[in-house]
Amino acid sequence: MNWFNRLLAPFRRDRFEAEMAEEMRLHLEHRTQENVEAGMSPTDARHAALRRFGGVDQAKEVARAQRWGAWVDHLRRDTQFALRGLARSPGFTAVAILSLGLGIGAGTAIFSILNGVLLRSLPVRAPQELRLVNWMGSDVVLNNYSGMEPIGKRGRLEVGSSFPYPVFREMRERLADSAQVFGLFPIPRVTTFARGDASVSSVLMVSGNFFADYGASMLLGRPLLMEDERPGAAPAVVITHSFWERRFGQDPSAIGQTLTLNQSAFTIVGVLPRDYIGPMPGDMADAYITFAAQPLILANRPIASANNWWMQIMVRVGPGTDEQQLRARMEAVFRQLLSGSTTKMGEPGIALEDGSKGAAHRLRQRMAMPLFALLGVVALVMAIACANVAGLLLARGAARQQEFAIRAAIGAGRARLIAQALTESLVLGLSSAVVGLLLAAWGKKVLLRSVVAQLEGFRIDVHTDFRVLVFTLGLALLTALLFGLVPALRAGNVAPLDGLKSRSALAAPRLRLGRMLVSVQIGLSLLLVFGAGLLIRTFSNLVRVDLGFRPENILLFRVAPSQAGMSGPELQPFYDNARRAIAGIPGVRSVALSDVALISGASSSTEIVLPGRPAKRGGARETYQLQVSDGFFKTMGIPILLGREIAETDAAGSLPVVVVNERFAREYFPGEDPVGRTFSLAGSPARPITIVGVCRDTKYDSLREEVPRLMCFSSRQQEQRAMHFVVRTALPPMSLVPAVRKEIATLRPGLPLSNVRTQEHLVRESTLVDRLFAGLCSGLAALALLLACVGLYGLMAYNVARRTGEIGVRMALGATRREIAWPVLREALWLALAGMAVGLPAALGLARLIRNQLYGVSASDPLTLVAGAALLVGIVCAAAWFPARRASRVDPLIALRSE
Amino acid sequence: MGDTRMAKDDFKTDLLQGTLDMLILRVLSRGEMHGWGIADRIEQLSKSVLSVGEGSLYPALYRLQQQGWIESEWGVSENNRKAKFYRLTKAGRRQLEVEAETWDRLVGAIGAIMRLA
Repeated sequence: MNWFNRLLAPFRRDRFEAEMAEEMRLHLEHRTQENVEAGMSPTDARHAALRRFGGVDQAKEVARAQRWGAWVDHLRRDTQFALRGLARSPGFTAVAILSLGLGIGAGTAIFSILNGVLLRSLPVRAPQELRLVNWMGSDVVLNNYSGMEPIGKRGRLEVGSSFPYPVFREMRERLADSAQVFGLFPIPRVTTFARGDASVSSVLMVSGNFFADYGASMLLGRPLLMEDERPGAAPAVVITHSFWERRFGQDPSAIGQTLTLNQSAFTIVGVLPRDYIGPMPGDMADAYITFAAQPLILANRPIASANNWWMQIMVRVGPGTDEQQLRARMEAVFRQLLSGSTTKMGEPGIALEDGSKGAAHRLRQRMAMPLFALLGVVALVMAIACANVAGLLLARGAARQQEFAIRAAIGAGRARLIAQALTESLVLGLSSAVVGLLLAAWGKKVLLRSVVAQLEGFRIDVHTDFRVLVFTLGLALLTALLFGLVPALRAGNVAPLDGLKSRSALAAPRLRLGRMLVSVQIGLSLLLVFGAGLLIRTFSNLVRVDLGFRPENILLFRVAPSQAGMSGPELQPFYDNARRAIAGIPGVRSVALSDVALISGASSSTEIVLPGRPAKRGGARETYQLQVSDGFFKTMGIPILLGREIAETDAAGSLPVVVVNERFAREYFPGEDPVGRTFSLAGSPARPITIVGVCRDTKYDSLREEVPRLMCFSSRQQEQRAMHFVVRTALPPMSLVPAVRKEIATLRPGLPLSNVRTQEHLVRESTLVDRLFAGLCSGLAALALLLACVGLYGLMAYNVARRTGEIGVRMALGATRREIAWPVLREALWLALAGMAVGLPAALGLARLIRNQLYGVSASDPLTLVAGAALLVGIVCAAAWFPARRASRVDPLIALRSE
Repeated sequence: MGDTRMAKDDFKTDLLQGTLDMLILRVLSRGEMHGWGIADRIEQLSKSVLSVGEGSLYPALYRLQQQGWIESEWGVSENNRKAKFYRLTKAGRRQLEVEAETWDRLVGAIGAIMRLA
């Protein structure tokens, strides 16, 4: 047979079958004829021929099995058979597909986000050519450092990704012959004004060669160019598709129009396409401007300074470039410029890092950490689901032993039996993958909304790409193998003769493996129940934490009059007028100001000097601060315990005053009345500040942190470029937003409100991740419990059914119902105890991994552990109760008759 | 319980299969022949190989055909019956030489061991 026939063989089954049948028929005919000629009767002759031939069907089956392409038939038949078998037991099928599908769905949803955050390459030209530039050095002393990521550690060395602009400029110039070096810096809050409408946007400041070298094309207009980066160039801006849609209704005439950024006019030169994604994680940028706009937008980051570290550098390395040589040349530039600056750094070096996923790699990794934790939890649930389905399959296999024995007797080989049982598992696994993908499509949206909802405009590409599909299919196949292999091997071990025995003679196996699987499920469930319990207690502790102020009915928003061109003497009157105007809105009780909103994650601290009390060795007097207006404490509902609160009279010319909190008073002035005492800030020791009051301790930047030492200055005694308005209302706070916007617009057109939210929203938001974790883990733990329950119930019901005859005999001999039911319950409890004995140390060990997530509860909390175990025992009893009851109700007569 | 028995059966089947294949090639090396003719010749040569039944000859024939060692054609038998005739291909002849050689070497090796031991 040549290759062509071999190729066609799978599709020539009918011809093969016909020829085989014909040939065997002729063979038998010939032998019968021979026998007749030897003197046998025709009937005897035929029987003798058949005996000599052996099993016709067996011979055919062997011949079929070894055909080229037989697997196509087998696969088709096995699949049909599996589908029919599964359709016949819809309960089993539904439980299996649903439990696996839920696990696969959760895993896929989490992986989709992980993929978007960490794994997916940027949708730009040849992303694998992009590199992130990092510096490394020892004993680093930097004066002015900021950026997307804090300085990290790599062994002995410190690593950072922010550079001074001159370093970048030199690198770009000197390496132009071999690589394209470009720079970027995200500016989170810029006031944008276009078509009479102001809002706060995020802007990415880039080098003129950014779009060319990052590798993005334009939808409309032109990209930013090198000419745009020259000092004194006409300010140009490129906007994103979503910004164009929001602010210009996709009007093509937006090109050439003016967009005002913090009071400076920029001309819109280009619009990016819809599917463009920028290099920053989450890519929140609405607009792109060049470094030439630094003096207009970013006064505190002078581009000429070699001592101000702020911008990130990326480089595109063309194919065939010697990367080591490139790195060495960058290092040379870096060292040369360092020597001319005030920065001190030992062994300065440059490291290139994969940039195909975008900038700020370490930040991405941090964002992905909770996702990895969740994936771990999902893996546990998947393990339980696998054990569960494997248990169900084993029980099913035991019930179908006779069927398999018959198949073996009529010629199915061991491999065929195993293949057939595995096909059933694969069908189950793939069906679950489909269910999982559907669930994931919905789940990842929910997950995204709840994890990153607070970051407006946060864009992660989570669409289901090739990698996600591979993950899902791989997960499905892996689980199918995990739960299907052992039952399949069992099926292959059946002895053909067993098929001929009667059903009752066929000893139903005791399912030792099934019992082990149930124990494992219960052990793993304990892990999840304990973990979920700890997270639930953490969340409930956080929700009930004493804030120290009343968060209800408070509206917060931020206004930055300095970005609208106001400065110095204009600022304070603006704040006063705005407060008066807002106080006049019906439904407003009081209005105050603070520079930082409480529980927003933002904080500000400084060191103080107490007269006559040098700080203890190593104990820096780091103290947190707030700038507040008069009426702040009353508006927030923070009680003043001693002295007075900040007053309107604490103005620029008068005595510098401060209200401190209880902890400040207790630690710095133990056992004394702090009111009237003075101290000074480490930065200005000659300016004494007088304590005029003590307020109650309140939470400051987050619910988890303990109350810090806090001092509240009068906001009138310093220039405030931007402030948060704190509005206590009698009506639902958000309902007053339109009126507030109108008042501010009347006072100063084009001045936007940003960070508009309620204090309660901030508090809720700070527990968002905790709630998410507690919710997800409880959901998954409940699923695990349900699965373990089903597994245990199935096993017990099987055992009772298997022993119906024995139970009947015992009842006939006078055993009471209790004597029949108790052993069933006892067995279930033993299984549960065995599982928990293994699960307990594992639970305690794993809980240590989530120690940092916990609040107000220890990772080995005995109460949670006991409660979790009690819950499990209760559920185990409930699951075993029904089979036990059925056992106790066996009618001895019927049981014995069925033997 | 089924485990050990299965393994023994598998082993026996494998051994028989290899011997059967070689015998078929050997029988066909003398000229083309139909199924029952091959069965007759093999029975003359070895009583035990076809003890499971003549039917097991056919899977072996199809297997060898798939391997390209033999080919088949419908024809008419000596007593005027329709029959499928099998004959050795070039590749089959080569394979027979290889198997015979392997067999000789194996027998030689076993003989040597038996003499030494």
